[in-house]
Amino acid sequence: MAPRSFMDCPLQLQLAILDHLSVHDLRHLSVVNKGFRQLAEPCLYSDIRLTWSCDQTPPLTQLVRTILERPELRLNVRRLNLDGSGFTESFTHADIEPPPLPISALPVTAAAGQIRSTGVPGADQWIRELQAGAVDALVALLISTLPNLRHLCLDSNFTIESFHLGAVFRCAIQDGGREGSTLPKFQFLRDVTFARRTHEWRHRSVNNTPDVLPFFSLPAIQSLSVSIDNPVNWPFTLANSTLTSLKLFRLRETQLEFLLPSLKSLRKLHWNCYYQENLDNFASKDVIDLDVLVEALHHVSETLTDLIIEPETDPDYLSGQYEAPDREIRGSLQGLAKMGHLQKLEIPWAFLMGLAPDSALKTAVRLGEVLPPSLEMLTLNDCLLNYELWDWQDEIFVSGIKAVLGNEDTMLTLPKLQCIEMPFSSYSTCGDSISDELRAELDQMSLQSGITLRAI
Amino acid sequence: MAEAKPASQKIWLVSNDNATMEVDRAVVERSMLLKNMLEDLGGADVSPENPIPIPNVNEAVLRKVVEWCEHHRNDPVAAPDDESDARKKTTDIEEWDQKFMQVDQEMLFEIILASNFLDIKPLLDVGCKTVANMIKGKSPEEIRKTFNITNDFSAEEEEQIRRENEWAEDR
Repeated sequence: MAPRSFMDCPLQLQLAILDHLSVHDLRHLSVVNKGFRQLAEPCLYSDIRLTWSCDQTPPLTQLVRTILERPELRLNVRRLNLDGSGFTESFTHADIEPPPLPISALPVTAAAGQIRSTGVPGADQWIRELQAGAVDALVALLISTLPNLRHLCLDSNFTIESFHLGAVFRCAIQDGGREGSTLPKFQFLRDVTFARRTHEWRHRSVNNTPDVLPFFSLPAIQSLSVSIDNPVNWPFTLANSTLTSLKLFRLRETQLEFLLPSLKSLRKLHWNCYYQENLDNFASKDVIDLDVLVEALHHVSETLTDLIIEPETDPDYLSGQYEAPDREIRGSLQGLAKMGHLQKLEIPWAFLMGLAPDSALKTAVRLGEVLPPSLEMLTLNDCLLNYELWDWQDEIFVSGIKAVLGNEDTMLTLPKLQCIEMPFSSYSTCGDSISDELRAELDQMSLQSGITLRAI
Repeated sequence: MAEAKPASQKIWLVSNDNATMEVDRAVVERSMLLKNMLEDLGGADVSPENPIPIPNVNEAVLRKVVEWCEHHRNDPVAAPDDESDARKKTTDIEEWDQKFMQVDQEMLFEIILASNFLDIKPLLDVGCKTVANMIKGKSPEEIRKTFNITNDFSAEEEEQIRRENEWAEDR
């Protein structure tokens, strides 16, 4: 028998070996000989990651060139990650707009042909912007050639403008695959990340709502992380979505009313409830309206098991502010109790206990009316708490929890509750932990109540 | 009800070149193929005169595979792979396995093929990682030397491929 070698292994074993190799090694393998090329190329193209670093633009043009010249390669692409946040190390005004990408390597005629073949409206403008090296035009072109994408991640440098990308996905979900069009339906795309823009506070004239909403209507979409600008008018009604997990940035509670009704399968929602003065200021106010929030959440009450709310506030940098403004909380979470499938809930301490330290004890006793009986894990985070202003102390957190546990009515309405996590003040004297004394008190309370208590 | 099967119960295997070896059942059961077979048959019929034939695997390779199974007889059963289609980056191999795999290339591929046939996933994984480590960080010419491969590309073809994969070059 001839000696065994790499090429004697069944294909499945050869691929298992290649699975362990980096892009660098796969690139070297593909020039070893014809056999290795045949093996390595599909692996090399299955998982593509390009990075826009501060000193170098990503080789997007070269990738698009190869895909256009060897169209069969596009079928291999399952994962596409375009990484990068920030164009330069400096914070000068020069880097507001992404620098144009070098396009000298691009076969312009083939690129224009590909764009026209998709049947996406606005081809002339798309081609013009492509020739100018516009990031959005180039990314949209690349994605419009990839029918087998499973996973798409666009980092901050690639989401500043999204006009053409939005047009591609709008067209794909509306009439993708229609006669004569080469546009894919993206029927395998299940995991999408569309990050917040680099320096998003500087981009006030763009609105991405109509561009990103099509992600919700992709036929196989399961997991989506997306930053949605607050629109003046909601652009269109969404069809029912298969989405199960959503991480949502920037969009405010008044707009959730338009989004959540179509998310019939949503199990996990992570919302960042963003506010910055002078950004989306017709819809984004410094007041968080809990009544509006809870009403919108009722649209997903039949399916939602995990809810995380982590409000984020930034200063208005362009007006020279350095301190994030305080936010007001209005309304109440009453009504959250009707979210009958909710198992894990993470919300700001301030949503439940109020912003003022002395309000905690008063509110704590009503907790049973607010939280759903299905709840297993409650995390209270420290978003919105201004430690310096309010002089928060860890004793207040602990006594707040104590008041909750001490209320029999509350505990009877939460039979499944196993764990409560609470914040501790990073301004306290103990550094990155609560004091030994308070910890001992928490442990004692855990023991008595049978509920795990943790300071996070 | 499963019958009692003490870990020390003996099982006999015969290689394709007619070498019979006696192995503890617990060791044999590192092979999912043989484990399932023994569960179906009960294993009582297996004797020195009636060993389980292992076709495609010769004595030297079978002894190596059994040696690995002996050393790893008490390893916990690994969790099934998650469905992630992301590239696996790690090629870390524990020290004993690294030494175990210090064999000539022919034996290495024989072990890989045997562990695939016998369905011993952790051994197959170690084998695949060992080969991957022989490729890692090497130039195309070094890879050719390692696996005794002739370059069948013309200079133009090679240049064309380099141009195609330019986007993946280290930056």
